[in-house]
Amino acid sequence: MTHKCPHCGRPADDSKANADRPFCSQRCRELDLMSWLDEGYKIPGPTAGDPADAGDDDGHGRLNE
Amino acid sequence: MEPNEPQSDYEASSIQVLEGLSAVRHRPAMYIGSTDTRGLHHLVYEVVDNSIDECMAGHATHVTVTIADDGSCSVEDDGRGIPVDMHETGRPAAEVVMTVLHAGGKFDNSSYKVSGGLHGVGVSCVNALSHKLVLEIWRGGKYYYQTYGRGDPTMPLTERPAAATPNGVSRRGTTVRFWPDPLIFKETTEFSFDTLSQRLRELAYLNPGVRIRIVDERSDHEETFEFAGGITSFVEYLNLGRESLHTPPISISTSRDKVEVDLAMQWTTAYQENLFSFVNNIHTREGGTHVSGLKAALTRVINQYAASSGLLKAAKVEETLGGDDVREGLTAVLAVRVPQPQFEGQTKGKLGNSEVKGIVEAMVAEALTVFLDENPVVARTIIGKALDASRAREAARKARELARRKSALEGSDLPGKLADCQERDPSKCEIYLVEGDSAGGSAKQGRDRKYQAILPLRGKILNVEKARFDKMLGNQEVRTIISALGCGIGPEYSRERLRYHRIIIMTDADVDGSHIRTLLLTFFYRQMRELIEGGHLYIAQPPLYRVKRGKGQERYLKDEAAMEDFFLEQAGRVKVRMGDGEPLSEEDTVVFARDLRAWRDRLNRHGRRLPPAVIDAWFHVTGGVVEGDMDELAARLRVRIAETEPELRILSITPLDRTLTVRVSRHGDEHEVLLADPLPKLDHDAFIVNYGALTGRIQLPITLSSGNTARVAHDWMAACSMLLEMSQLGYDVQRYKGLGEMNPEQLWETTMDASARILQRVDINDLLRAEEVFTILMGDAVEPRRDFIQQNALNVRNLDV
Repeated sequence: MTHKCPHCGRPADDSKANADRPFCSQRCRELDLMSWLDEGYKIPGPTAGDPADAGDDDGHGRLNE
Repeated sequence: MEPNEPQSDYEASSIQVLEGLSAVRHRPAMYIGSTDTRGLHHLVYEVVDNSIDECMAGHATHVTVTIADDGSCSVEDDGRGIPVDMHETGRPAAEVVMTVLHAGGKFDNSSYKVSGGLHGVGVSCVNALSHKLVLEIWRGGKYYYQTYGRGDPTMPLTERPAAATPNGVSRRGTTVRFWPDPLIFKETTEFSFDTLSQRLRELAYLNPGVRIRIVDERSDHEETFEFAGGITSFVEYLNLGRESLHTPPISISTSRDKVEVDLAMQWTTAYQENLFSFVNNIHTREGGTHVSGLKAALTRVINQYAASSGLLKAAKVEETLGGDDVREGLTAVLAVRVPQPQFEGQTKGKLGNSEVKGIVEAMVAEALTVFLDENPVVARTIIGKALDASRAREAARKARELARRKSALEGSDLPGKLADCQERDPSKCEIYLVEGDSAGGSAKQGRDRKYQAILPLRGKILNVEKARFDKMLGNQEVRTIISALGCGIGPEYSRERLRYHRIIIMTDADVDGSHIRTLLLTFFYRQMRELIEGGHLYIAQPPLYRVKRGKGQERYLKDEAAMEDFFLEQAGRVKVRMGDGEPLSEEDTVVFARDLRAWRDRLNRHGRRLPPAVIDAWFHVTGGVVEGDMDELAARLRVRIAETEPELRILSITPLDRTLTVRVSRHGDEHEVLLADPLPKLDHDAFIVNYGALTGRIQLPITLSSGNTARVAHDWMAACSMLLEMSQLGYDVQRYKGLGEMNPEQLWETTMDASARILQRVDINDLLRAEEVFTILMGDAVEPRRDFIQQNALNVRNLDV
């Protein structure tokens, strides 16, 4: 069974044979780890003006994109 | 030697005798490395190298290697032919070359500018280790012939008339055919086509213009190698099936101080580096000074470019890129020609000439700098890959450091914020990951320190522009979690080293809490998946409500539904009268309350799609069963909706067959509902049962009384909310906004006491849901995120995973 690699979006093997699951590769797993260690993952909070509008997209999320 | 000699001759006088041949048979491994299959094939390379030398000197273009089915191998070229005139020893030069160790033209630099060969031991070695060897020379229009046995001539060099050639040009060249001595090669004397063709292919790449043919008479296999593109073609060949970052390969060909440097290289998306180096056609498996020079140049130039272009800074990489990072995915072939190569190392596969490093480094650096400047897009791609490599390596290193823990007794390197437990048996231990320092403080005081550890986590709030507050896990938190758990990350996860077999996430029941929980779950799902598969991850269920009556007992209720459940059971305290009837018994009141709430929930469950008032009215008018005149039904429906839900505007009710299509609008939102028997997309039977139970009992108006309070309900929904409200009379209801509002005892009683608490074990489905939420929240797509946050803004529980 395959699914999308959370880091690069390419297909990744979801079976136990894949030691890096859910990632497609060691590289993607390690880059993801680096983002955790680097505070690269942020959940956008609401803006002061409009609580429902958290959607102004200015590249938050993955650092390495 | 006289390197500046304008016209070099290749005569007997240019053959220098350096050493005798006697030792070779006694210690063959010293000369050809080994006497296994590798040494056996070395014999062929040795002879081929002589022919290639002749090609490099510009005297030959074709080399043919033939594996015969009589166990022999022959190497033929179209060069000048080994000199046959008399050497100063009184023997023909050719015989000297074949029988004296280290005899050969290549020791005289004027004959061969640069030559390979097996480190100069010469074809005489091959002769010494063959039980039979036949030498044939076509030179000066004549044909010479001589045979040897185990290194000694078995006949004098004999001249015969050369056979006529069709075009009148006399044939030239040398053929050496030898039968390896089974006394020496005890393992095997069988040549491998694949082994030989691999090396010959290499040689053809390294010497563009030379055509090398290999024929296997045993199987009629045949291949011809000729590569005009040289080592650039070699790199392209090596990268077949790989995804390259740029085409064509970078190619450098230059020389300085008699050292020639040829380099072809191409980065690919692969993670390995693939570097082949050669000195005078010899594969230097252990590298050496030429490879050091190449690596130094790559590291220096790419770092310079990364720094000056701002890429290094943009990626927040503080240190410089390492050599391994820079070379990741690189396929390179480096071929140098050095006049006096010195080989070192166990297998003599390493170049030792120190001057070569600086020469190679300078020349590669110069050419690579120009290439990067001229190809900024490629440069960016290459550096991006090196940065990825560097980050990945750093991540792996940090993970190892964090997971390293000397022993269970040595707690000294545990994070300071962790309040560890006393128990050392992991299967009995649990750790609470608690959101917020104040809740963490309460948990520390309230816990059973024997087996419960507390790790307070601060969801870091980041003030980005426009006063928006982003939520994230600070790097300190992530590190702390990794080192506190002790089990390592990814494939290095080890259950044996896991310090707690229960990891319990405890966060507030608000949006922030659910964000922290989503972050934690996503982290565990991605980086410590086995933790979840092992069933070690839990979510604590702190109560959302506390209800208390007078000084009596307290009840903690985890959410609104639980609280309603609780008060439904108290409904018997309310006196309920239907119309003019007698009050219901306590038991009947409770049953009635349950049915009534079930009806409300059933209607509301579909509220997004089907306005509850419309469905409610449909059952009241029809009882769920369509009978009679549809126009009359429509009229009664209209009246009923207007009565119960005045805010709902009825736009139209259209009868068709046994159905009604109702169009309504509320605050501008239009709905169209198809009413039929049965109602589509609903559990129609459950509606009917529920409706039947209520309609059989209810008589309006309903009078409710409790103590001094009395109220009258004129419809079902009003009765439902009144009943729930009145059953709360006399109770004190407190809603907890966060864990911090509970004191340590309350936290213990409600959430941490193993005999009373409820833990939700996290399974993979929860995690897939977390990952999905995470992706939506983090993703670049604006729309899904906005929708998601809007949809879930009011209902925090929907964010729960």
